[in-house]
Amino acid sequence: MEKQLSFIHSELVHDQNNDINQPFQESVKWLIDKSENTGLYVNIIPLKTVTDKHWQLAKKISNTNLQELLAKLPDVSPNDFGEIKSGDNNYLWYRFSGSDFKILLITETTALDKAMVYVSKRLLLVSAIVLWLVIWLALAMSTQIIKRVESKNKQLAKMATHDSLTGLPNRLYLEEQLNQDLLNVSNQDIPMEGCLFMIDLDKFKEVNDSFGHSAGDFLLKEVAKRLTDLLTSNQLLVRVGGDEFIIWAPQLTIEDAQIVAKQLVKECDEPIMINKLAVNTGASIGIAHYPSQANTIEMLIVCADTAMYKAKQMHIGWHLFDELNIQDYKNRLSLRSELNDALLERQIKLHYQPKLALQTSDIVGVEALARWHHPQKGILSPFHFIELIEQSGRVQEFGRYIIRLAIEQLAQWKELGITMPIAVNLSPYNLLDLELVDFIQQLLNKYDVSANQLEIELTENETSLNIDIISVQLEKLSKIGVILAIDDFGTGMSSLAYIANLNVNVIKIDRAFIIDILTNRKHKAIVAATIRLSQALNCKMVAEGIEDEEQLLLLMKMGCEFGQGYYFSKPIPIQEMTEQLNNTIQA
Amino acid sequence: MKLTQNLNLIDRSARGIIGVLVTLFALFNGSYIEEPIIEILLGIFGVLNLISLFSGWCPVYQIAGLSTRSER
Repeated sequence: MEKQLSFIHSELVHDQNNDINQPFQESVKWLIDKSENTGLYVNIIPLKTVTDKHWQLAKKISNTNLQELLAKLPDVSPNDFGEIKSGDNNYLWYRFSGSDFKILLITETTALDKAMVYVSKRLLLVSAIVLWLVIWLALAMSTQIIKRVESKNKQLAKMATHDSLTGLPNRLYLEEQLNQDLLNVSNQDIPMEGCLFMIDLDKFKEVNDSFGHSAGDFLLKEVAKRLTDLLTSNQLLVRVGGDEFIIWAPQLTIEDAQIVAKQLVKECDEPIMINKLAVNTGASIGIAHYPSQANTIEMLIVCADTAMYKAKQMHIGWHLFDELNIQDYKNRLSLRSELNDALLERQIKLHYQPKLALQTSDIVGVEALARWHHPQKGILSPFHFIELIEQSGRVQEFGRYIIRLAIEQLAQWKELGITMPIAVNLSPYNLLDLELVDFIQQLLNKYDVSANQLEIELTENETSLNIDIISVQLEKLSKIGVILAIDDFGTGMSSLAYIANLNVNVIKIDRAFIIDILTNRKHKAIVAATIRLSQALNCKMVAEGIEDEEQLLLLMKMGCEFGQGYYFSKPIPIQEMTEQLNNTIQA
Repeated sequence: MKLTQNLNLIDRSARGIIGVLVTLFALFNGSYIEEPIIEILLGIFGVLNLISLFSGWCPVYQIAGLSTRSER
């Protein structure tokens, strides 16, 4: 078997004249052995005599030009080794000599050497390209990751500073913005000023309770959209929670702010379609001016809030903050905190105003009116606390509280032998309390009071949303025998709808028509018509707010049967009322 | 993919130098590599760098959303 990958060329030099001596023979034997074992070929060349046979052997090894290879050998010391290159191949040479001989070995580099060079060359290139790709990949990926993190951070920041429902900024954002606007004024020559509008929707709670939360959400979105459309680019609208919005308008004077407020109120008064019903949301707006009215951010918001409350209380749409408001605000805060105790400790009591039959001056019933017997502030009228109850979402609880008081009173009177119906004022909002009828029935049973002693006066206003639920509730009440009355008839929006749909027992015409009945012909006509209406519907008609004898006489002449007012009696505490009733019974 | 410049001057010239060297090597000394696939890859790498030199635009930067060019 021929070994093609490697060969050895060897030169053995000896004196031609002598016989081959012993060491030489051993050397040759060693070489031949090595060639057998390792696949080297041995060429023995006698000095100066190179026979064809020898060359043949050498050429057989490789087609390398041996002469060329030999010429390249450095001719230095007799014992040495090194590497030479010829053509595409590398060769290792090894020269050693004895006293009478010289041996030259030349071997081709092994296959392993060649493979190593081959591999390393490619490895270098491939790793360079791979490195290039990896760097790009890392770059691209890290950028992607950074981008993703950034967008997440942005989302989080937006979530923290924006309201998810309307997409408007929230209070946090507002405070940051105000801080920027009000505190970093160094780069501005003009003194900083601005107005803060606190906007509170009047009907939000009613919409939420009568149509569900999705309707409330829709309302908020719609209002947010409308308000946004009204703003100029430097004004900021935020939703601070619930149905409260704030508009921050920098560089706006008080005079301009009032114009803006009018626009805002007008916009909020435009009806919004909810469940195919046009709802007038209505808004109360408080305005506070920086820096003339408040010079810190907290005070600015408090002032606007106070003014808003005033606007809401007086139903005037918008109100500019004034110093008096702040006392109001403090009062309101303290009352709000005391409200819970008031309900628990029954500080809110009922006062009674009698209703009389005009012809006979007999008391035919009493209207119960809530009064807060405040431990420090004395007796407070509903004007001071009804708003608080509505704001704290306890209207229905309060309604039940009042009904309980009235029924307990009826029971007490029953023991004393007095039979006198008590009328309680409820807003339609109370009737959204679906278990109210059961509650009333239970109380009536518990105290053994007959249902027709209790009269529900429906204070009817624009909040008469969702008339379906209310009608059903009123029908139930009517069925258990409770007497139904329409309060303040003529001032609300849907009085006639009520009367048309419901079996109302009593109509109470509003005091506004009675107060100037002697001078105002139109009011007189309305009263006359209402009297005829009540007769036609076969229900009682009560005139509210009779203040003098002339009014009384006129009403009697017109055929009005019942009345109440300061002319007869103002609302009086229970002891006086009981005494008075006792007297009438004894008389 | 919009072809907007996303390389600044240093980036662009560094790529230019690399691109010229690599392309020349692949063209004239390619036999050294003894492997056509790697030679082609090297050529593509060089040409991409040359494209970056002439257009000031890098596709990988574009994909990664990077830019070394200062926004004006």
